Amino acid sequence: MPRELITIQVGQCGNQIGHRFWELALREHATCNPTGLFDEAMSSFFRNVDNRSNPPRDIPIGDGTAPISNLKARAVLVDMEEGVVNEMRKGRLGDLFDAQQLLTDVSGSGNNWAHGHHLYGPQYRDNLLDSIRRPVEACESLQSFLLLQSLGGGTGSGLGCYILNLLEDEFPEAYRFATSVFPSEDDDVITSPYNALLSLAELTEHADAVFPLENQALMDMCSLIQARSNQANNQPASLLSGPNAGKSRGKAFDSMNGIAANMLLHLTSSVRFEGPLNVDLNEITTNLVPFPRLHFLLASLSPLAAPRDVAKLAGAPRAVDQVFTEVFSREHQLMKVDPRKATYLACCLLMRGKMSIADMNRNVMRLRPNLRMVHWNPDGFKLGICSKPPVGVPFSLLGLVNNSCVVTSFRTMQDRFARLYKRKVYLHHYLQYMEEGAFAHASETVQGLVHEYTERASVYPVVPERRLRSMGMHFL
Amino acid sequence: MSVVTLQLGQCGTQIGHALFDTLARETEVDQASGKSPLFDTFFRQPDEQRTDTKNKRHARSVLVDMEPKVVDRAIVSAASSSTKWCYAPGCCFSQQSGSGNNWARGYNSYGPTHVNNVCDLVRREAERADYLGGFLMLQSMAGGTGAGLGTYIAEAIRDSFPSSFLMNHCIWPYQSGEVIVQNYNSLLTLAHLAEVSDGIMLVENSALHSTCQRLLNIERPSFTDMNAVAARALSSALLPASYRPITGGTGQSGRPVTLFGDIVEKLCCHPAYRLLSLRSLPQMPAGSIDFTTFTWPAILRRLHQMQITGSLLEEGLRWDVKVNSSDSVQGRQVNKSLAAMLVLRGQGARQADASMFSHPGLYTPWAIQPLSVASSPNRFAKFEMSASLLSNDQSCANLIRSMQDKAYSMFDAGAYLHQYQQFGIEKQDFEGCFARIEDIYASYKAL
Repeated sequence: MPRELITIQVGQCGNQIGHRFWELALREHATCNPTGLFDEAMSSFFRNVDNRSNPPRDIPIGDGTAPISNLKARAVLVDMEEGVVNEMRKGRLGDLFDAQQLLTDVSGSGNNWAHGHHLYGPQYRDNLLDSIRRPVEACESLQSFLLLQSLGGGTGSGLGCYILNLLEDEFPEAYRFATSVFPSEDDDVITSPYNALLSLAELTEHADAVFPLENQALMDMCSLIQARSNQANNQPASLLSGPNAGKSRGKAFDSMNGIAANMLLHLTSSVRFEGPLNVDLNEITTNLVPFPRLHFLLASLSPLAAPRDVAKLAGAPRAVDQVFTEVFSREHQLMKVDPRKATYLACCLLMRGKMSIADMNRNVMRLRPNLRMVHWNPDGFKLGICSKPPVGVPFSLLGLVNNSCVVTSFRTMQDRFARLYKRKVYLHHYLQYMEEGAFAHASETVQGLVHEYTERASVYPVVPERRLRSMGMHFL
Repeated sequence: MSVVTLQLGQCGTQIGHALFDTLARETEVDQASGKSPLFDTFFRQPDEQRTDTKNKRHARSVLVDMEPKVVDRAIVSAASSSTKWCYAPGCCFSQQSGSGNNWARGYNSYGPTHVNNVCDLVRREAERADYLGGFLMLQSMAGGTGAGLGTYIAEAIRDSFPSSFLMNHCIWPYQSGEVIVQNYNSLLTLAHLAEVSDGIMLVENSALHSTCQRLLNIERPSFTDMNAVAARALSSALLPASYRPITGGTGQSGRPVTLFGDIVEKLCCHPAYRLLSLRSLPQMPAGSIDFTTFTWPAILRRLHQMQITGSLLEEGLRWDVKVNSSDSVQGRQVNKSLAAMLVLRGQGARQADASMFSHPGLYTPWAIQPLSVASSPNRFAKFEMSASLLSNDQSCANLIRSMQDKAYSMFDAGAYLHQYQQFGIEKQDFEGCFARIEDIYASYKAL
């Protein structure tokens, strides 16, 4: 009966990350569930379905002794072209998804945000609602939605943001977490600046928390893993990116998606497994989002090393400290920004494995003096410990940081947008479905966001503090 | 005389479990009658005898949490382990969604929704007692369930049982931070509890941590270790003891200490002063006990200095601070108390001289008979001699000050307020609570 999480994968990138995510989730649960009984941990992501009856009925957890009959993922897959979803359906994971969980069209969105948001959105609204309502009704206590998308294209960004609005209207109680891939410098989609900025405005207004990812950062992390694996001959690629990852050039995205998938698994580990200091997803929003619009959380993961190095980690106390240092280093971040030069608004460290609060405290005290914390949150660390380590590693650490350095990324997006918008290039494709005023509105929203980040992150107080006077024992 | 315990949130559940373990271990069951006075205080016979529970006593406890994992684990582990107790079936209340470290959510949203169910469980447990001595609530102050929902439940219990005693055992979070909004949560909890609770025992996580590291030689303390320390300290104050004269006596033992009536009567007699601190000695690794010689003067002298300096640790004490009412400088540094209760356990506990604790310089001038001493001949935790001091003194006030500074700074910046406003706690509520905390702080400083 634990809190259920529903994943909504939109667009090609979203679905590919999703594919990796489900592979790794199955592997993780298979490793810690040798008896094959459907337990509460699995119930967060999967349903146990009895296929013999028609229509197939859900088998509830009961007292945890029901064997796994047929697992179905709590997910909705949306794409406006069929290729990726079909590949998933025909592949090894095909059995995880019901036909009703898939929503596809044929022609795609043409990398056009307006096409996704204003054409397909309203057109498929009822189907989308249906597809989403089904897994929601199968949940005992839905906690949140995880939206997987990229911001550069048309479907993931446009239709993804439409779905975000839909979730806010129809299911306001559940949290909306978005894992969004920000376009990188050398993105080959020409209209990606428009798509990204329009999406960013929507994410600012309608998401509860956003985990931005940048392809460049993920690629660099994969090279790092590759370099370390090459030192150990014939070792499998990093456990973080999963099996069969990085074996061929064409599968390069697999390892990158694996890192993103691992971040999500780590984030939800405390929801599924027990530990001495549980951190729920709603605790993440409460602690890391000081102001409603400043909810862009930079993620970093450690360790990344190949399994042989990781085996050395077990039992070495310095190794724990090393992991903490790495989480705060730039090579382990899922975004290419420099948080050390900017201000930390809040920080969360989620540990997996048999670690104690003493280890975490010691490292926090060691590292905090080097970080520039905002003046009203000088101690701002949220700590969590989950007992179950990830597959193959004795422990791992996820850092989620709300830092004003994300502003650099937003400013780059704004610059690229301005360069195109100044000349009104490609605008006519968008104006077919939306008004030009929406562009100005989105631009203003993002400008407001940048301004708010810069203002709130000022290290010194702007207004002098006032202290309340004691009023004596007035309440006696 | 029975005490009903409420374990709220993850912290409360885990500490409660450690507490019951310690209490069960420390009591000797009278073989003849199969009963022992303390066992009845915190435990009871099961309602129906079932063969599978192996004749275990049930703890008089209600477990409440907004997520199921911790409570389920506690129940299963108590039932399956080799201890003489377990939790009664149906004594727990848990939900799915968790409070998200949000005090407002626990207080305004889950409080009204679930208060009836929880109060039902509490009432049923209270009705099973022949003579209800009071309620003991175990909670943390930094989270959402223990702090927010816990405060609402405390207010509800005060309404339902207006003449019963309510003691809160609250865990004060690490200074270095474990939850970012802990400043808000702790101050909101304290402000509300000060109105309804009879006594609030504040236990600091950092003190427990230091005790484990420096005194018990545990290099990397886990929460299990820290919970064990807290449970031992609390048990040493709650296990049975009988009154005795301050200077020690050889005659008949006085009347036993009643939980919680005596504690409230002697220590928390003034509505503005409800914060209690708990100090217990000795703290040492179990392996060192056989190699240590215990003497009463040594133990009492260290405890006395801990009381003077307001320290919670017996190591690193400042021995230069002395009680001497003529010396005004020293007088200012002394940790003044309103009242104190000293409990001595072990060999020669009745005869040990505790008159150093009754020095008037330690207490506020208007306190009448501030010191009570009780003793018990039974050993505690295998220590030949041990002592614990439960006192209402200024050391808690210092904790409050640092947390206030951080909370004000966050409040002025307006950070995280929207999370609380979402559930109905507005700026005025915060300001009201801050004002009450200022009052509490000022009263303690004026002691």
